[in-house]
Amino acid sequence: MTEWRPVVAAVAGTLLLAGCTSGADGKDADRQPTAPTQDAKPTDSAGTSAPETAEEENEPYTMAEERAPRTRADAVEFVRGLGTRPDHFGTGFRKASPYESDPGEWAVLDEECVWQREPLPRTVLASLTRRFVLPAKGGKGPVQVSLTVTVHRDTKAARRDMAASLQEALRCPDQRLNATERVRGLYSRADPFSEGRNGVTDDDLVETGTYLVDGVKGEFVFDWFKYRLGPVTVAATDRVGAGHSKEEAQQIASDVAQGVAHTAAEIDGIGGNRAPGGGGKDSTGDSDEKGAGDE
Amino acid sequence: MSEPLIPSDPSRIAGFRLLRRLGAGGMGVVYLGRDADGTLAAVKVIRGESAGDDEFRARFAREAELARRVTNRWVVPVLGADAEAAEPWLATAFVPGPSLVEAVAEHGPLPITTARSLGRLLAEALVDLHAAGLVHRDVKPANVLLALDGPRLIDFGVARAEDDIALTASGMVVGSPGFLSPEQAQGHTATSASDVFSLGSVLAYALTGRPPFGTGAPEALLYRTVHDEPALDGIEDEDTRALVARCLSKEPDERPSAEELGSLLAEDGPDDGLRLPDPVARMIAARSAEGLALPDVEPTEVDRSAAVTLPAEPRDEVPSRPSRRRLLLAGGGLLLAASGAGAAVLLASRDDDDDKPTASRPTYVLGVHTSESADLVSRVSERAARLAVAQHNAAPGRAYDLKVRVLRDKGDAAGAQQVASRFTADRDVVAVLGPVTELPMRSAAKVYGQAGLAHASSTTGQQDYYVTSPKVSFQTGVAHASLGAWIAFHAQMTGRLGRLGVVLDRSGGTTIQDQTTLLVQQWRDGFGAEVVPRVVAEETGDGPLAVRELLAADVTALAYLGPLDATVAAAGQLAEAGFDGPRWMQHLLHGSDFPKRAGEAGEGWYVIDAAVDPSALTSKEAREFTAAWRKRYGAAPEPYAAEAYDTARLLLAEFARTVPKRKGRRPARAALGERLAEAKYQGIARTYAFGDYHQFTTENDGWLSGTYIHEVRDGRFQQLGSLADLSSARG
Repeated sequence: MTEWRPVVAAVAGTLLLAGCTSGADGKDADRQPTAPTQDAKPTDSAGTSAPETAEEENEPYTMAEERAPRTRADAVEFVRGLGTRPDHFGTGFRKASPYESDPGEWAVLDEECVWQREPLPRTVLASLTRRFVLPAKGGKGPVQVSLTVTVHRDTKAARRDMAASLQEALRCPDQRLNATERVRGLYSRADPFSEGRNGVTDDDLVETGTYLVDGVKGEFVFDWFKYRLGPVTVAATDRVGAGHSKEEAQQIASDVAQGVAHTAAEIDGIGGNRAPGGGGKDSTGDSDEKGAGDE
Repeated sequence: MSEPLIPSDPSRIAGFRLLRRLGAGGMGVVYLGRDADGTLAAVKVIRGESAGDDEFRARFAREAELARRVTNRWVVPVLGADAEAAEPWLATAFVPGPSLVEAVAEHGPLPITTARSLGRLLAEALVDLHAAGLVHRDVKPANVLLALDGPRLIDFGVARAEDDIALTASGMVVGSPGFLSPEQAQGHTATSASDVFSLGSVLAYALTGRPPFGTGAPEALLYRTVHDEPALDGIEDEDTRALVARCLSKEPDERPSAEELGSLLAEDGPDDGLRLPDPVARMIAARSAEGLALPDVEPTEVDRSAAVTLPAEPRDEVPSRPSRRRLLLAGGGLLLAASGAGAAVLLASRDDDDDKPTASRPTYVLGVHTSESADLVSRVSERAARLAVAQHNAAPGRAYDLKVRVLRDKGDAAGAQQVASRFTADRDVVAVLGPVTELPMRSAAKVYGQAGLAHASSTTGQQDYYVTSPKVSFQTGVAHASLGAWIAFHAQMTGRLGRLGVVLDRSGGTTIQDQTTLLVQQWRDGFGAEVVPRVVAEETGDGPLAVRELLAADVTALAYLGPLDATVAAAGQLAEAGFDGPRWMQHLLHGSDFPKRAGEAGEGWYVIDAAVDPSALTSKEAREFTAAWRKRYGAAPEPYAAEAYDTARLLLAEFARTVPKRKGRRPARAALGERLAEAKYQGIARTYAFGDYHQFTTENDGWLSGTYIHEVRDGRFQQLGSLADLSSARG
């Protein structure tokens, strides 16, 4: 009987790690050890316990239903107008080709656990996928990132979509992405903002698995981030090619999570949370390739 | 001190929610922000020309990276930075204290010993900055913030233009003439020696209340910096005056290095922190409170009695802490409340010996951190603690007495942190049982962690707390995830591994998610049986639909993992459909009203839980505990009582080993966490030990004997036995 026990122990650890890397501040968790902060803080209660008391005042990135696009045309304009840039995902990223999908379709996991593109159901107004790539360089395979923003008819429909994503990982831990790429051993979890587990939007879903490419030897990393802001979902996957170390893959995951958070922040701004024209800071579409090549 | 945001301000920068404007200048704006963890930060956002300057960005990126490596206590830590952002930004920890300018303006020059300590600590800060390859370039009194334990140097190098403080074409000066070095005044690049010059000026200012080159028009100041001798007559102490004069040498080579300056300043002084004059300390406290009075902070409950009866802090907590007059604040929650209510901050002298116990025996307090939102686990935790403490106090010849203090949160993060703040501020509290639910556990752990107060939760099963509190937070409850897997073991051992329908009802929270994932993995990947999963979105009422779908899919076993209402509804649905396969609910419903609410439809449902019903056990420990509980509370122990009692006893047993032999010495809080990490404790029905994340862990087959099957029979939960019992019965 005991031979199964390690499975459980391992997952308990996974939960914990996922807890500290999910969401936008995965960056903080990974890159910035908390030690300096703690060293610098006095141990007296006056200095340190104060800020946390207001923790609950934190609000998630969200989009009020009444501010969200209501028609298919508005929704298409909305998703196309988002200023996601390649360098949101890290230095050196570029637009991939093809770059944008048909906003009248989305990806659906079929009975055989194979992803298929299908026309949008009635509950979805628009869904746009943009693809980015960090080109292969110096023996390191390419990193592919795709970002999908989907406008659902209402918040309830978006909630159901998040539930469906969780269900898919339970139903199909092994999934075929396309003719040559597969993911295996998917593990997913979603944290509503209200549970205080480092979420940045109403509901943050993180999925990790092993990425396999037919004809290429080795196992690589696959991450999926899917955030819900009211009736809008923002999802990004990264597929990390061969030659990247574990640490690099983790850094990539963290950067991609940041990239999703960028888009989430933009949507939050459009959703009327304080800053009028909050999308302005990121919406200069023509500077898309700017970050590429900077080192 | 700060201003509200204006409409054109962003509401967020990366992970920081912006709260206030702290200041604005030529380079951009500095905001007060808060990250997801609630940590306050000063977020400097670069706007205007510099933002479009590639060279500036490259240097910004490099220096931000260097600054991240600086971990000097007196340098404000960098929390994050993004040189690639449309508007580059840099976030540092927010220090609510006043600057040296404000302190001197309001309370006059600092005493010589204070000023020398300040100089020494700032020199230490520069040593590390310089070692990291950074030059501050703008050391001045306004960039020295005061906290109770010492200064914080802010606004270093990064996020400032190279020519920020040189003369511009129009003859205007951006920067701080009066403190900057002659070489900077002449437009040359700043070096580490320039920082030493500026620090010398800061010292002169601290000691005399005036900049060494006087005040006036910037051009005049710059001229005097380059050509005149500094006015140091106001510095009475001869050695200090000579040392400052050396720092202010026109020739960079003649100045001491930061390291040398630090050691020269340390020569006569004790090697401890900063001794601030009382008025300045009070000012810092008031400013800290002001800093906390942020917008949108809900009014908090004020416990006025606690505010006035607050005892002094235990001095043994941090052995190296300087003995000095210090402020006494009742933790964040109270402080916030106090500032809102206009109450004064208390000043207490630490010079007196306040360690003496008043009675022949000292009394220590076991805190119990409970939640109003969780009746059952709160009640049993309190009862368990009281029983354990009563038993301790009944022992003749004991070295100290124990008391129980119970504080309840509302199940929310902020409330939980307030409770933790109150416990940590009470020097008599030596350990805490709780918090009892997940959100309070993960949020309060941070506060306990920072204060070094050990606590253990017997009813939570997510391990997030470890991330923020890796030393003193412990969990004696079994991981929720494991309990999901044990459902599969139960089915396997009873020969009922069929086609499992499992509903993950998200309204039940993330604990259910942990369980479902493991249940599915174990059932399908571990045992090779079939699973049909259904995930129900929160606030949709889709539960009944999911159950209908599963029935239509011909499942032979069903687990509904959701909140109470939805599980009761599922029971009704399944009974109506005549479903006769095994049915499981999530373990948090153990001890709930499910049997009553579901009635006949609830009969036969299982809950697999690590919480033992000790009254169903025959061991001596279990019988004694059950009898003691009955005697005190008039009923058999409720679910979770045995584990809460074990946990209280474990805390107290390890605490006993931290109590110093010598009378009058207080135990050090930090020692308990260290002991617990290594502890092995034999409880009523299981052995406690902690794993890598300070979570409950068992060796070998411990989990089999420590996991129980409870079935709803005759309108109540009845313990059928452990998985080990089942296993041996089968074997």
